[in-house]
Amino acid sequence: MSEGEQITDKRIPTYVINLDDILQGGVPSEYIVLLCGHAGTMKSSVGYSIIYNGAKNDGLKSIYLTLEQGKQSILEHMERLGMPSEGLDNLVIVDLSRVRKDIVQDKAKPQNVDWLKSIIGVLKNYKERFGCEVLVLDSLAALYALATFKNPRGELFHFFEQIRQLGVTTFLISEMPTDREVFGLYGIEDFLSDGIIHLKVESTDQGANLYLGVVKMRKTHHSRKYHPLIFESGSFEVVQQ
Amino acid sequence: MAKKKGGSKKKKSKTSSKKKGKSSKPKAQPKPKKEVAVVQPPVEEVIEEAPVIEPEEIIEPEEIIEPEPVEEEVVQQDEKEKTELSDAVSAVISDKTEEEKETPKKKKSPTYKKREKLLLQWAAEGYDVENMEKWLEEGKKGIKGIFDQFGANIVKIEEMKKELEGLDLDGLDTLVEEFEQLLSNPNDLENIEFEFTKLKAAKRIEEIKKELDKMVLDSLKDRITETRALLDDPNNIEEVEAKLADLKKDYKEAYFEDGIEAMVVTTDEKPKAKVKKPVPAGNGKIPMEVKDIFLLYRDGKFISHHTARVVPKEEQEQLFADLKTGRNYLKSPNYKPQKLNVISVNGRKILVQGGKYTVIIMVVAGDVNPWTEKIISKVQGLLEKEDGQALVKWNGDVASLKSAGKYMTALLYACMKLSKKK
Repeated sequence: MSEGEQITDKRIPTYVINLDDILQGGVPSEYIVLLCGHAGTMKSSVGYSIIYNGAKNDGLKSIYLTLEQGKQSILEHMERLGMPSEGLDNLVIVDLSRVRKDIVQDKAKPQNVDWLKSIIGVLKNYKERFGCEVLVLDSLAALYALATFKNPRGELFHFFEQIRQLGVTTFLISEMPTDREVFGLYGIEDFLSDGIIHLKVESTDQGANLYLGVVKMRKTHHSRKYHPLIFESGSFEVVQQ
Repeated sequence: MAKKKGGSKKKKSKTSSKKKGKSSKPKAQPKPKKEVAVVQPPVEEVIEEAPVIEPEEIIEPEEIIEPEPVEEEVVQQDEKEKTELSDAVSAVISDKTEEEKETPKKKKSPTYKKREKLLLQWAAEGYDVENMEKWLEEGKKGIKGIFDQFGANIVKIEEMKKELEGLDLDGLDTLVEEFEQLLSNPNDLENIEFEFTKLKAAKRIEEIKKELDKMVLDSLKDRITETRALLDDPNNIEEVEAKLADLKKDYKEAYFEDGIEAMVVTTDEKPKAKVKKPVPAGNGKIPMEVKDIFLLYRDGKFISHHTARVVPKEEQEQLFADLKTGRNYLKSPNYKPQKLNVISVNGRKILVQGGKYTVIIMVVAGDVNPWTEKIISKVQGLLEKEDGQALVKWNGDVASLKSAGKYMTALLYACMKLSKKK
């Protein structure tokens, strides 16, 4: 089976023009995919665009879990990009940055919160009650800032396994460290995940271009080329050269 | 005659069984039509015509089988009889008097007969055709259009009936019954459609109420109550739908966020950040409020008075009384030097604490903060150290105590800060 050929297993389309062809129809359902890149590579926007279009076109029940940017700020930003959330009942933005601040400010609440366990626990309940097919967690770096790892490898392995058990297609937004070319802070996220979509900026004489490459996607025959990523009229597009 | 009645019966029983499978609610039957009642043969006649069957064996009274209803037998009649009956029905529908019947019949056109048949069919289906019969007989102008419209309305009503059967209308039995009664009059379609919309709105309201019942988060309690209140007026349904869409989305978000807050799983290890030792809370429930501070020399001589408030004239007398009480306490056997002595007077407290050379008297309201003694000791110690030389043999010159003002102000503010804590 070659690239571009659609396969029959259930996939979640990214609605990034041409990327779904590269991914043979989209990201395999229930996979954990790292959406990584340095700062300013539109990771959050691409992540939001995936669930926005999934909810709009396929009625996919999705959660955008933000630990960094506030909900209002995200909504305004996405609306400017042509992705208004109004009328999309299936797309829910959970503002854990606010919850985090509330907990930190309220000294009466336990400060040593196990965020990984708490998030997984609530996600499980939420999915049972309202259903959830796609999750975007923005971002791993913010989650790491909250969590205290004694044994990062073991605990992250456990966290990824618990997400996998939820049966939700998950996009983990990972801000890559500037000093190393690794896709996650602990250097293990790349092999714990089922797929890696890498966004990068390359400088040219005329400015800087954004590129997207599929570094890894299990069960998918894909190229490892980096393609220019453009955003036009409310849609992302991977330019096939 | 029999044909019409039999046809009617058959249709009704079919509708009834259909409804039974869907819901236990009785479907309202249209009122019996005049012509149907008239064409029914008298029961006696039918019984007389029925063949006499000789019993082959004696049947015990308990085993006697009830004869089939007369209507069922009528159905069995042959085609010839049916034709006769049909003619009779037509005669009845025409509503002519006996005298008129005797006059030679005007020959009916095929269109007229076709319409008559239609009326029979609609009547058999349970529709009220009384006016239609009248208009047909009268030869009302535009009768073709009237019949077409009547037929079209029936089609719409039948569609509504199907839709109605598909709706879960539990708990709305009365409304359904009232609505079903309207269905027999296709000429009232506008009203029927209006009532159907109302019925569907009532159903939707019930659904929304059920959805709201499931929303139990405290953080959205007010909005849920507000939305529920709007449901009291069915005209608000559109507004409620719009509010509900937002509410459902916000509920999901709040469910997650509140869930995280409520379900925080604490780690075993203690937080990394060093926790600052908290200021111990006072024993009482009312925070201590410092009103006045007096600095005295150990023999009771007044040095200075400090306060952050403007003392009203009427309180000045009381203020001096408190000072006197504190000073007198220095002579009391209960007085403990270099310890905090607390005297309760009319709801306020007079604190007396003596140092090496000085005595501090504080008038406070509320409960004494346990940190007060330590703070006074600290301030007193600093003051006595700095002005120690003047204090050893103080001659009553207040100006010689240079640090007194500074430290007493510091004490006042420190105590005011304490007052913010219980």
